[in-house]
Amino acid sequence: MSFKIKTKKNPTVLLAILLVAHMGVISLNRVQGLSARGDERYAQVWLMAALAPFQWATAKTVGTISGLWHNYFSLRDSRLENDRLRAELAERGADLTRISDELKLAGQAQALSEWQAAQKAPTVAARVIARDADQWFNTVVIDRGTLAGVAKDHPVVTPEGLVGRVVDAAPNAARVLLMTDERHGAGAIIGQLAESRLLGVVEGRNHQLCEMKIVSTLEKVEPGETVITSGQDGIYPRGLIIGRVRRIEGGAEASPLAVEVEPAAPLAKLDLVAVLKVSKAQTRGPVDQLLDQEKERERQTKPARSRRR
Amino acid sequence: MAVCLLAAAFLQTTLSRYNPWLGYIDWLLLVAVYASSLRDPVLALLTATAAGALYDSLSGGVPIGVNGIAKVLATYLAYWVSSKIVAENLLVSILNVAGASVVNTLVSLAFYRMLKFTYLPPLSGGNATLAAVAMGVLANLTVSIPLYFLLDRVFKGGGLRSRRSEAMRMRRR
Repeated sequence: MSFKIKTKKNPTVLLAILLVAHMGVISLNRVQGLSARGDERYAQVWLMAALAPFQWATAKTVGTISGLWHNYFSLRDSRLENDRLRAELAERGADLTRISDELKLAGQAQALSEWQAAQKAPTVAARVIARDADQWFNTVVIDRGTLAGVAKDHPVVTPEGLVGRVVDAAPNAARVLLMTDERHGAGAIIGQLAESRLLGVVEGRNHQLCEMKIVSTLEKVEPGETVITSGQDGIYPRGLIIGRVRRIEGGAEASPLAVEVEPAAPLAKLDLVAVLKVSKAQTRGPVDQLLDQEKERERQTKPARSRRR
Repeated sequence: MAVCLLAAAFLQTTLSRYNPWLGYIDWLLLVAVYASSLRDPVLALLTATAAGALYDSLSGGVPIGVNGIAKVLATYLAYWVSSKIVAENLLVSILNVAGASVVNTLVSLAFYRMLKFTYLPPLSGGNATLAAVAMGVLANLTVSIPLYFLLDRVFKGGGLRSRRSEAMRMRRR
């Protein structure tokens, strides 16, 4: 009797075989070292690449239809103009933050030039074409991949602020882990780059808000303050807007333990995004240089102090 | 069935972009449950395995196999119900989809908890899990009626042959 007839008569055998096989596959995924290399994600990458053209066509069609509706029937040209002006305003806001930080860092000329170089990194515009298959996880698929120069860990932004980072890249598509996902973390600072000492890590919580764990609690935090990337994680360049402080949790205002951050980018309605093609070395470089300069300054001031004593 | 799975995978990742409520529909599970109604256990379980693998592949960060187990168990339950009830009507179909949806959601959430996903909304305590299960059942049931009508038209020949041959087998016994 063939295996197929046997299993048709008693499907429990096939069920048991499949369950054991699945457990084996899950165990392989969890093997230390293997998952760290990311080798097991080939299936995900190629499947994403295969589905991307259809998803792109759908996104384009839906975008065109809704664009026609909004532009011609709903608000005609005013909506387009409004969108453009809002995007421009958000861009100017980001520029303003960057410029004021640049001015404050003027003394550290070398580090500043490196940072500017990082900011001037080439960008790739991309369209969001799909979301995660599982509604509980926060990832999206964009229509640009390795062929456009997109690689793993490249930051993804909108004019309003940070979106997340690339976690998988296929030739024609890439998966972006949104900052609201609980597996996402970014080094952040509250307030101005050169002034604030409120360093911490912004982590996702699988809903609309993120949480920032504060490292130093000497300064006061106010709701509405801007949260920006600190550049210390080695993935995101310094100065990208993450969001605004919404609520301070777990303590008095002077010594907050955790801060609720509202992302600046419209993560629920993402359409067009930009991928910053910056390498880890470019991102981390200026920070390391700043730290080296700080150490050098400390080293220089120490002998002076000891001489005074 | 392979084409149906690919179409389901496409719908699974595309529709929730336009409306988050559509994310509650598990298109891949619905195809696997439909396969179980064709009364071929090998086809049903292999379809569920493929559906699970596709689901995990299209989800960022979940190890492949987690949703495979959930969908294989859910489909097996649906097959078991279909094989016990010879009659083929809307009530059986509703029972299958609802049962499979509950099993699928609970098994996958159990795995997510084991994988240390602590901030997922359905795992946040209170009635969140119950709400997620109920929403899943409601969404899948709503979509399953027109979808199965459509699939019946596509697989009509094969499905009827299968049911007829099973009825003949039972009569011979």
